[in-house]
Amino acid sequence: MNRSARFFGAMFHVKHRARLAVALGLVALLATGCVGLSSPEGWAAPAADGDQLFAQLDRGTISAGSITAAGSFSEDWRFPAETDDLDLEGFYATPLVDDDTLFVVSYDGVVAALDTRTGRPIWPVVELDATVVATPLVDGRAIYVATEDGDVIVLDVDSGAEIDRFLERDGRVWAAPVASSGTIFVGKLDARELWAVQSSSGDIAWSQDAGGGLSADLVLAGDLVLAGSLDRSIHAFDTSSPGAERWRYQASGWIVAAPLVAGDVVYGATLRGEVFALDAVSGDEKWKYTDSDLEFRAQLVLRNGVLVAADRDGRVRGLDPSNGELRWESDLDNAKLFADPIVFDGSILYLTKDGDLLRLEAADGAASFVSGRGG
Amino acid sequence: MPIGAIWQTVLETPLINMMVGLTALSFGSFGLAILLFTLLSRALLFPLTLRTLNATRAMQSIAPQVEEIKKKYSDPRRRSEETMKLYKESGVNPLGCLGPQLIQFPIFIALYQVIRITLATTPESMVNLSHRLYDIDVIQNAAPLSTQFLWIDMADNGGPFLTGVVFASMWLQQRISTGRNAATQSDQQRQMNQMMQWMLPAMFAWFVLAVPSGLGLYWGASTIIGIILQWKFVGPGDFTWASLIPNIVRNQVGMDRLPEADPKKNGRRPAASQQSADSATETETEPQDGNNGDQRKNGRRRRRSRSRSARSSSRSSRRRGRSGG
Repeated sequence: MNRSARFFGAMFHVKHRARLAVALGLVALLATGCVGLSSPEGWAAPAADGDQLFAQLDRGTISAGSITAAGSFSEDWRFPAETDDLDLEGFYATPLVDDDTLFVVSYDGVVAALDTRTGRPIWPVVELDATVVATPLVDGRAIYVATEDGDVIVLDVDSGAEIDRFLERDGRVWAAPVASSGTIFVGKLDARELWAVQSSSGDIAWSQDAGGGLSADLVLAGDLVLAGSLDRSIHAFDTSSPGAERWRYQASGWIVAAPLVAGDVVYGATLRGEVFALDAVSGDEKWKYTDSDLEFRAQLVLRNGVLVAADRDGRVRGLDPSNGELRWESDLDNAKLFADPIVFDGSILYLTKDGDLLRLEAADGAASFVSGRGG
Repeated sequence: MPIGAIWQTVLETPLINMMVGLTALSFGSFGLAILLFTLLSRALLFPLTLRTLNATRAMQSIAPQVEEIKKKYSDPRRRSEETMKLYKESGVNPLGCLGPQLIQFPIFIALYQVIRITLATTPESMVNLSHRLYDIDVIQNAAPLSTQFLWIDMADNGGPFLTGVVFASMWLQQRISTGRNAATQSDQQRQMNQMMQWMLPAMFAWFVLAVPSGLGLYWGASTIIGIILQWKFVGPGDFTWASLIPNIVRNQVGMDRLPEADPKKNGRRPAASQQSADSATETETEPQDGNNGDQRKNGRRRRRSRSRSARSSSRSSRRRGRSGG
């Protein structure tokens, strides 16, 4: 092989290698561009105070306003405001109204206390060093924020200053805690346990095995704490020590929707399309409705003698609360219903995953969008 | 049925359930489940891996003949034809070694999705996981899965440790494979292999930094198993652990220097091999068999090249003469 051939051969090799290196680099960049862990979007339920509504209409923003007579949403203010130097990831925690103060906690751990009328911060926002899914609890002069790190951080309602931090253990908390007679009940997702903590000292009173991860918001029913679990059961624990399990109802799907208590009946729903009614004292099943195509994430709502269950893909069912018979069904195309509904201005109000407000009449399932679509 | 649905039904959903089931069997450890899955998948692919290793061994056995062809034919096309003919006659498939790698790619991609879905790091993904799980108690009750394995968070992006493991294991695997086959490769292939020895590990190390650690754990474990299999069934070839000590260290501790990995790398050859190449050229330009057209053509090409070179040289001297005058 002569020198020129070797020279051109080497040129080709160098060029070829460079092309290959560039190609491999591009593949690596493209592949890493396509990857990423699941991003949190938030499904905070709306909250109301009189005729004022607070809802996450845009991801990472809480809008305050009212619904006009024409059926559209009129925004008064939003948090964070455009002037605020905050870019929040989203809200899972339902905004809490306490007198004239609105407490909001974002997924990335920003806690704010806002004036409900003006949206002005009552104290500077507090940035926690943890992510938050669980709706906080306001009890007395303290706000309890349970984090994904497993901590419960106690802030002063008037100043936002951190008062205490307890239950510092691994394991996420997604379920909203509840309080009863000086005890805070915290449901752990990864540890699969229910914890009872003295609110005054932070001491652990007792803990109980919940069988599966606790993802659904905890609910009080008299002297019982109801915990929907990923072991496909609703557990009823005694609020008093040692938190004995009074009853357990076994369903066939995960329970991530908070149980609904109405008088002496507990209503529940699963991600396998079951809706059921239980005796609150004994846990005995009164009736069960099943449509295995449906997945209920949002809490049930009882309005005008109809039990309304909304599936995550917008398929809504109106049931007779006394026997579970289907009264009506309504399929709302493209409405992703993850957030718990509220009763507002005589209607059931859902906030869709896309940030649209949806009014639904319990009597017949008639639905109309308030903002975003048709607003 | 759209391809996405087929992918989900045939590969992704069974894999999700398998991983959740394995986690339940592994005392709730998702990391152990990934290691178990790696062992299982490598066991399932073992017949294919064995075939590949046998093909590699066969390549090794015909290496001297390939070298002969390289010496005999300088025309790349003819050389390639003769080499392929030899491969065919010997029943060797030079692309056979790609089989297990190619099969692992869909698993790698599916596993990426599976890790994202099964670890359910956000509430949305937890709800989505529900309808992907089979209605089997062990699987249904296994969630939520613990993301912690040793000190590594399986849901978090790969850290320096896993990145290092993946890079080192892939480098070693490439080194063992390419070192052994060096005799059967053309210069271009050899250069390519040398580059791939660094580029592939670097690319996968980059992936590990960008994807959940679980995937890095799978890839690292799978590569290490591959190295063990290769070592056991084919041997390490010309690789020795001592060869990892670079010449700069060897000089300082008084060890023998390593031979140049690629004598043509810097466009030069050792004197001995240059001499032998020259004598080979002479053999080609003076064909012993008058019917060997290939060698005759090469001879003509070389003569033309020499005369071009002479013309160029005389033109240069004329130019020099003019500029000097």
